[in-house]
Amino acid sequence: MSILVLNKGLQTTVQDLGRTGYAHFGINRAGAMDPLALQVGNFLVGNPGGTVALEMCFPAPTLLFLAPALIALSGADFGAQIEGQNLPFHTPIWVDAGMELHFRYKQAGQYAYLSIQGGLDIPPWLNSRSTNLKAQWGGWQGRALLKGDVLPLAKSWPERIGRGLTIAKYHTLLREFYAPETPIRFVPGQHYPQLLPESRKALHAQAWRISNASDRMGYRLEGEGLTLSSNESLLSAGLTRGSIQLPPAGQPIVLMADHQTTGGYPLLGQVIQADWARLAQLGPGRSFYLQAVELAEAVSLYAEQGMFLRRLRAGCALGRLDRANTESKQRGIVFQIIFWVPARPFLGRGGQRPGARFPF
Amino acid sequence: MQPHIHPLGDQGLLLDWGNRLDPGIAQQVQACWQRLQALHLPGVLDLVPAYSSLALLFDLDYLLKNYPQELPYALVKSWVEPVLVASSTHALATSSRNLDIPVCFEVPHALDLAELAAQKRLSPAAFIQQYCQTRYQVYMIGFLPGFAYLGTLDDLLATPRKTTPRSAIPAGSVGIAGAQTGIYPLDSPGGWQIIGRCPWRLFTPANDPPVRLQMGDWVQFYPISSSEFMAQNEHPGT
Repeated sequence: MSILVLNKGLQTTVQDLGRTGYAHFGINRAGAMDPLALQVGNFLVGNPGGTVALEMCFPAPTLLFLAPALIALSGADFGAQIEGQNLPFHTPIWVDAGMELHFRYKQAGQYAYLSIQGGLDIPPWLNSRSTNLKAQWGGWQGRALLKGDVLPLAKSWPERIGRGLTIAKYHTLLREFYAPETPIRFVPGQHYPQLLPESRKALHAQAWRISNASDRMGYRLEGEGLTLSSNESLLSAGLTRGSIQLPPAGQPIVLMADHQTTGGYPLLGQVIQADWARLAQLGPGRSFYLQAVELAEAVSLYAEQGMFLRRLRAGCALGRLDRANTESKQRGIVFQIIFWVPARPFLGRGGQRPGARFPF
Repeated sequence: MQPHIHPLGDQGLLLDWGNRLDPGIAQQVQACWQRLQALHLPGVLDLVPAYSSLALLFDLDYLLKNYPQELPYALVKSWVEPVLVASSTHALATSSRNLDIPVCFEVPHALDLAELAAQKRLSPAAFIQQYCQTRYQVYMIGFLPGFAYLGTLDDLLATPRKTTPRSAIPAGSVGIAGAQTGIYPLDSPGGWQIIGRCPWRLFTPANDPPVRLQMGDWVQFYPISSSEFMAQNEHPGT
């Protein structure tokens, strides 16, 4: 009951929603770069939102399923294929033993997630299964996946279900959360008032390009440099993801999932949690605008995203998705789920039972 | 002295005692940290004490779900404020630990010792003696898992970081940066001036807690020979 890694990809790591409660030991959170996509993928296969999944960059890995599994792809679209069939993302998919999942091109986004019903059977470390690359511990052997790794699945099915590849005829639309034209919003922080007037203008008025030197630790921004009225050296203090640091060179750095727990650069503010997913998926080479928002707005945007996730989870957990859809419509749910049409439920090999449901 | 409180975006708040390296403030941070830890406030994920600040990170989902009428920042701030009043009046209700830590100041571990001692017009032995006679306080853990920032170094010994950081420093290396000293818990790139190496593992992921030093500990170093280092060496692969 496992997955064999045929090709490791650029950086494939095992991630959940991260490791909290240990920052005072210098142990950072890690966790998914795009926590929204991780949760969506998990809900689609009937998992709790924070179940451990594979986080993939492009070039993405090639994976051989040694057992049947119910999977979903979320986040970035890397042109996933099994047996010549294109796989949609944000859709539950039944994969049978012996099938090879590979990715062909980078269509959109930076981090893709492969959620598997039940997750991976790996031990937690400090209450999380996220890989801590700096500590070289947690997740899968504390490192990115390598060719030949055999990842045990937590949930086992009969050796062969005989359904072949089965793709649900519905998917979730998340466009509003990833709209590239929406600015990345932040709450101004401690040293924002020290920005010189022209720098404050520049912070908001210019498109910031994400440097190629960006990674899971931080996104380095390139643009017209910013200057503070004070260059007082600061004592290190605790940091959060999304913090916009301003090193002396004047090019901001936004801290991402693997950021250090403490630091001593001036802080212009923190990117709001509702925009973590969108920023993560922009990735190196892309540009965006920054927009300052009030704390209350940050909270309500996050609450909106939380409501979307709760509705999605409820819809997926009802087991009968078509019914869930009807009920969702009655409740006036704003997101759109195009549900599975039973007329042509299976797209894969023969031997399926028409009308069979996804085993939530 | 009361800290200034301000938001860390929508994720938490920072208690800020001002940008001052002061043992009295460090003691207040520590007292406040321990009181907040003991309270187990609902929805609080992390408390990160530092030299003169304490970051509190909360679970926005949890707070929105359980206290839908409140702005999470204002709510948590209202929980924290009474604790601050109490911690400034009660000095330290804490058990500070004293640790004596062995360090080998010999070649090949003491990468920069000879140069530093020469700079200060001291013999390496005098440098070591001066370094080992002070008991240092753990002001903060950060940078790497279990990396303790210790202070305060004697003015005579304080030295800026190297202008070009090394690309690899072995775990256990003892370094100096400004008036701070510390031990690298993992193999890591770094810019600190390396004067010796501790045979202890400061970060052992499988242990609970996984780190050996904690905020508020007091540390005194004592010199050991190369052969004692070998006998006590806990670092794998060396």
